[in-house]
Amino acid sequence: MNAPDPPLHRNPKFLRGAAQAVFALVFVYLVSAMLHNMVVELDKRNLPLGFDFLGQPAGFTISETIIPFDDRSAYGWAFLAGIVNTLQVSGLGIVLATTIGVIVGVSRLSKNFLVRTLATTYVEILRNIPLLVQLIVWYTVVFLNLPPLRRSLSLPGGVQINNRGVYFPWFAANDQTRTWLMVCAVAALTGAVAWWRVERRRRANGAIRTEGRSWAQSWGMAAAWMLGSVAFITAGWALTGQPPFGMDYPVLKGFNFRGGASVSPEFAALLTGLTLYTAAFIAEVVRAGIQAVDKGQGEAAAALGLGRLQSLRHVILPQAMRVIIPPMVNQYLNLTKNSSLAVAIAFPDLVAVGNTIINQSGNAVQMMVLIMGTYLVISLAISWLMNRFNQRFRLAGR
Amino acid sequence: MKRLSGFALALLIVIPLCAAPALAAEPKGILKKVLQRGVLHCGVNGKLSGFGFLDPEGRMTGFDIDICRAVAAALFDDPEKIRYTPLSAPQRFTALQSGEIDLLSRNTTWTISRDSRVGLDFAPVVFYDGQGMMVMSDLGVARIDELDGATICVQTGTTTEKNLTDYFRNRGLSYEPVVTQDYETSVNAFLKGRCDAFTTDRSGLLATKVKYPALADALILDEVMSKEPLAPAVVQGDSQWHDLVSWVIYGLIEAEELGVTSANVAQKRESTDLNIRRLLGVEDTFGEDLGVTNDFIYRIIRHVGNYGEIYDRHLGRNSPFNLPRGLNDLWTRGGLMYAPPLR
Repeated sequence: MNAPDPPLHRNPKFLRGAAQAVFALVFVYLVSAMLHNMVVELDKRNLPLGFDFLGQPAGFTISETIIPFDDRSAYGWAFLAGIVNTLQVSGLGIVLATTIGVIVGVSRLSKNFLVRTLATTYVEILRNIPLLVQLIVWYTVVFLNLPPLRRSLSLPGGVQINNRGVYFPWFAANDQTRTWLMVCAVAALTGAVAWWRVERRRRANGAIRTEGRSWAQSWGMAAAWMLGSVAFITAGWALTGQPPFGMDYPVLKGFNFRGGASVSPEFAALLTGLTLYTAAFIAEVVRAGIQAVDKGQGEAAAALGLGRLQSLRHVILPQAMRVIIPPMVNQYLNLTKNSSLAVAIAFPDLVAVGNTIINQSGNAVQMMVLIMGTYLVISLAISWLMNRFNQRFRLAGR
Repeated sequence: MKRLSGFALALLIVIPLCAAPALAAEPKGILKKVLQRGVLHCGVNGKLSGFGFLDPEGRMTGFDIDICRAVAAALFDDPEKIRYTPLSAPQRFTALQSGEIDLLSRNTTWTISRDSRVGLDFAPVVFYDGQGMMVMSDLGVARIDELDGATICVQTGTTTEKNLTDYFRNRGLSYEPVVTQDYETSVNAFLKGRCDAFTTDRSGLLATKVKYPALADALILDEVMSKEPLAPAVVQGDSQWHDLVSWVIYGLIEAEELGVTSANVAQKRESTDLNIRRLLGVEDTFGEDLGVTNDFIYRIIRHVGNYGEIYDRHLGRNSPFNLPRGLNDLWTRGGLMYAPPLR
């Protein structure tokens, strides 16, 4: 027999529902009040709330862009240039920070006292100084204090280092380059088709897709590929009497070095700062991940006759990865978002360019929405990618 | 316990309702708000010698600061009733739009886009300036035309940034910009040799040169690249507030023209000259019509001095810059400073 329903004010189901409804109402009310307030105030100041201004010419210049940009380009294009700059520095930063972080993280568990102490010192120092301070130090103390232009440091191989940037030789197309590129494209295509056919046969013969090749096999293939390419290029070079591409060396002309490729001190400072700072956190993540794997796993692997490296690769790391990946995503997101500190050291990332657009066009609200939206999209994309990676790892590991 | 949660719920509902009028209410006008608050919120530079910077005693001082002080004197008969907000170039307009400051007195150039699209109203020009270029003398450059291909340090969010672009484009010259968010980063990059040249308003160049000993033999090139009329700004759409700020500045200019200084303002009040009597609020009710007291210009001159005194104190002969008046002299002496009649 059912107990009679309690009165409404004692019915937990009703109370819970009501509380949520009230909370939702208050939330919606607050948000709409804020939006309403913003629209009213903007209107009172005769400020438009559209995005039309993005099509107007920017009229300012950006110190460095990957996509072509000049002052006649539109505001929207300027913002895109800022986004590309952010993606560039974040992408490179993530790769470098992961590399350094993994090395330092493994070193922290080293049996060698010196290696272990150095790694610990690195982590403890870099992790505990605010990133903004580090960036300013890298920029004003390190990179701006490199020798000035006229006393530029010349390294062998045509590399020039001064406080306008690091200049190095870069590939330049010559009349052979186009032919070479075409030959390479055909070769790559043929290779891909051949690979695909071999894979299919392998699978038809009963190999499981996820089953890896042995290291010897992989290295063997890589070595064969390298040797093949070198032989191919040398043969072609001998045949045509010309290298596949020329080299362009930086030369001091007028006020600056011209030719070759260069990295600005602003970019270098930002990349160095972000990389070293985030690597310290990644090192901790890696160390924690390895330590999270039960000691018995390593002992069992040793009992089965696996060597140290084999045990690390086949037993420890696959299990450690499951612990490592989720916090690693966090570090990648942090690095990307921290790149907005670029404004302090004159690197034109998307916040710096966005600020300039706000100031030159006066459309603060729209630009802030765009800046926030962009970071949200970038961050969600990174999370999504890493989640997929994580899922694959789970399947492969178990 | 139950009663308490009911109370909390009630609060949750009531608080936003109380906040709603505050969120959506029409402000009664900036002038009333400032008078009620008793403090003027003034956006300033904070780092530019001569215009707005901290003196060794830690007080804000400079030409732009005295404009704030004049407005505060007019409102409260006390030039110290100001909260200064130091702002970088890219921050300044947002601070004004959002109501964080009432008045922006920060070497800001009056342009049409700022007057319209950015949503500002400009008070009369207080300083006629022009953009210039500074180089180290050992660079061996005497004219801007010779800077083709040079690296130039410039601050973002300024008219300077756009003028530089236009100037070089119009002459078919190229340059590599190093765009910084604030003045000090820019100067530092120039000092370290990251840039061949540093550009900003000519008064700013001079102030920078005086401030940094390392720039003692830096060269300010002769060319004036643009017109830079610097004026205080208020947010668009409050003409009462705009009128008051405008007439504070006209009052400063008119006082100089009529020979009223901080030293003689008390005795000038007894003057029989009708122009002076109207200026100092002895006759007529201009002050009350603007929403302040009739003697508001008397208050300003007593506390801050007239336009000429402010200029001499911070930029002219009583300052390290010793900048000639030039365009900033009174119209009666061949300059551009001209106030409409007070009548």
